[in-house]
Amino acid sequence: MKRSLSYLIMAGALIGLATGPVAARVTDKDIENDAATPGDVVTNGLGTKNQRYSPSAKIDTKNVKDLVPAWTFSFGGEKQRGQQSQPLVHNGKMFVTGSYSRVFALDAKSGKKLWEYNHRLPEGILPCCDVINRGGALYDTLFIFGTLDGRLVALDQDTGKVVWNEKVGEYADGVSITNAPFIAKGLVITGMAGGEFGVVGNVSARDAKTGKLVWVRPTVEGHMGYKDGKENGISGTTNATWPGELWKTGSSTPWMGGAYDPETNLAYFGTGNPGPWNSHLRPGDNLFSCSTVAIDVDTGKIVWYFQHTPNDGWDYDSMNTIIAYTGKDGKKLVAKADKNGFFYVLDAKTGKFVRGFPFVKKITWASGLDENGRPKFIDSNRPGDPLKGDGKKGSSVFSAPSFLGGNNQQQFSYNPDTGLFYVPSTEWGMDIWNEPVGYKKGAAYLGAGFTIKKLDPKDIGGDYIGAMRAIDPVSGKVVWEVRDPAPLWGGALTTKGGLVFWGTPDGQLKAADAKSGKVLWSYQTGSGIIAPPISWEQDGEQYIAIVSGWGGAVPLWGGDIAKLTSGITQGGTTMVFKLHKSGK
Amino acid sequence: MALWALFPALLRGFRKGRRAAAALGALAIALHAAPAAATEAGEKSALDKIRQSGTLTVALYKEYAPFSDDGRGIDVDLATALAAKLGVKMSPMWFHAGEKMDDDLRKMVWKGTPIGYGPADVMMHVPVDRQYMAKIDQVRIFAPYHRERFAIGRQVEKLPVLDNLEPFEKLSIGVEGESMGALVMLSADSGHYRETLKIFKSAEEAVAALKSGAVVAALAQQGELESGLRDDPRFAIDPPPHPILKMQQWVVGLAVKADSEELAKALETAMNELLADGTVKRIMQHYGVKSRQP
Repeated sequence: MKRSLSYLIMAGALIGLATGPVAARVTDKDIENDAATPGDVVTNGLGTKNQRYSPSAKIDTKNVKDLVPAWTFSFGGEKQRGQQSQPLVHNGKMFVTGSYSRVFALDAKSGKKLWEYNHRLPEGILPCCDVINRGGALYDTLFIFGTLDGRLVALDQDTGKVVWNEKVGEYADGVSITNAPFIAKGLVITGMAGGEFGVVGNVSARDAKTGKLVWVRPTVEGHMGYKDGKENGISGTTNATWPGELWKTGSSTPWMGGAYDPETNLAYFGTGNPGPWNSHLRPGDNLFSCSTVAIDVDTGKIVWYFQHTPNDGWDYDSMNTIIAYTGKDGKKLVAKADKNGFFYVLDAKTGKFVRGFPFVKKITWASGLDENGRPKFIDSNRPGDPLKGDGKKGSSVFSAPSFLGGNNQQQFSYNPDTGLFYVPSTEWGMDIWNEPVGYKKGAAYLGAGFTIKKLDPKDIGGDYIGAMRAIDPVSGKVVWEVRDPAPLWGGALTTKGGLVFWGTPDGQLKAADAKSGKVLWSYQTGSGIIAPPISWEQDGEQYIAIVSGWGGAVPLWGGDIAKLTSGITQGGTTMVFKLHKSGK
Repeated sequence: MALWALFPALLRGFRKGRRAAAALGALAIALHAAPAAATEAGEKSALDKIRQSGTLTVALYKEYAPFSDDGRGIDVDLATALAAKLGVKMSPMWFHAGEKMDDDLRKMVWKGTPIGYGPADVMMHVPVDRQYMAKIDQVRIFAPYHRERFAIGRQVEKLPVLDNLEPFEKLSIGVEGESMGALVMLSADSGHYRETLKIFKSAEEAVAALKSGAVVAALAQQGELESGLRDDPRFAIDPPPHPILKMQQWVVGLAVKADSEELAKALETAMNELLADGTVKRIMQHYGVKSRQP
């Protein structure tokens, strides 16, 4: 019923394209129905639930071998690196962000550039984690995205002109935005990124049409939230899980953005790791670090939280993609493949732990999860306290997964037809040790050294690092996997046509049978892929799009593994595919 | 094109035992055609370029009083004096400290930021530590000008003597967040001082809190304390009664790109002159810091 109605609305929108701009406005309804409407992609995640499932079936397991390029578009210039954007398609236009806070509007059919926006970045800005951007949000006549200098900028969809531009955090303090914001009930909601220390994570909601701040919710215990300019209650209970004044700078930034389920009215965000790095200095759980936090979009208050790694000592941010879905028994659930190597299924309304299991083969820091989902720590695997003893070099600890995680920013997807999750996973570990000779800001300092290492093939059943895994959320089994010699860093798309699409560091966009994992098609895009694909329909044909352009965290911090990928050439191209039609 | 301009490059090439071939190649081209100018510029040393532009770009930490903060400080004055010795103007390039010294050197000395800020010609306040220098081969660290260590400044009336950290179980001590002092105070004596420890955004703020009486003591670098307290008799500055902090001393100097050999030599000579003629001492004194020459 709902679906047929949304098709009608969609048809109206397409007619609107010809008749005038009014019908082309993106409404709350368009956003809520995005997952069911194949004619557009108006949200990051192909629906606010983040499932990355396309309802299109024109491309299927039988004809996918005939997929050919329709058009390509180069971002141009010298900024050929770090392309992590998910494009949006609406009203015949594609909106795609480039690295360095750029936006391009393209004709979705021909790839012709309509306009370009280059955000002017302050000279002294020092983004912590490459110059990437993951995409924007559409609302009304606006395209809204976050910038490396910590702002949200709303552009007119037709002209690219700035309609509003609001500060989310102070770039001089290290705040930046790389996540795509999303829309819920006319609000544009975003997370933010920041350094390890001195920044307090928060989620904030603004009137999407004007940019006016509505509420802000800190993701560190003890900090006051605000709504409509008034105090709106402290997050958690001050000093319940942090000693002394450490909560004041507790980090825990929600840097990947979030999901929204209109049925629970909750926004789901994953949070980053706590600071300082030495976990022995902050005994306690250190809320709400390394957690999933559910915020009521009307009240701006935390309704529930679930902490994946309490008192984190391994840099296991928990910012990973969160997917809202309905279980076989009709229960509303959320799922997350965490950096820490475990896959979690939680009750979407209460946050109660439903089940959890490892989705990577080697986990050294915990022996499993207890009945409440709390990790059973292996104490000997916690990195030591360098300040115990004489301050000299401590012993080195080997931990898996590495601090870049069993899953990181590479979005996973859910296919309601197969009931499987498709998780771009990575098998790797790290050595952690105390650095006896370290400096910070020109002064002596005791830091930690981290080096990412390949795992012993014997421990993971072969010589590989990346693996696209189809995971059954009920049994916890890996139904199939496609291995890759390099760490997977691009997101996944799954379709009604029974396919899974994903990109690899060596530049291939692949399509596999969602049931069997058999790779049916691949295409070399010319640079490494670290972005998620999308799909939409136009004039009766189904299109697939991907942005190609190597960069991001692996070359920056990958240790030995970065060397494996050092031959990958840089890039910045949007590529669009459709089925080949013979010329007759 | 002016052939003479090539000869220094050529000589350098021979002296360093490398690049000679490139320089010879350039010479060969220069003999034949004018477009060799580009190659000549490529072979020009960092020092030549600075002299030609008339500007020495100096990387300076932001929010690092009394060394460099809000446009002024010891490092700012020292950089200006160094530039004057080279016969050029000093142009500051301000930046925020990264998580590790390595990040600062990458961004400000040898590579620049991804946005295109930096690198500068030279960076101030870089630790001259042989073990550390051995780890970083992209930069040349030299010209030590100051010896630094940690210290505790305290209200003498409330804390006449300080021979262990125990008083801080009850009395508050301020530190700069995520500094060595903060890490030690969070850890010392099995975390006894965690609950009372006051964490500030900068050492300057911690010292200001000591002066206003908001905290009884502040743990910071000795120079930060000396500059903030200015020999005020109500306060005393002593080494921290803690084994790791007490022993910790380090020397700071300058850093340039590894291949900026001539520039390093010129700056080292200039620094030695400034140390010898008392300029460094005078600048330190101006900011209330006792000069501790390496």
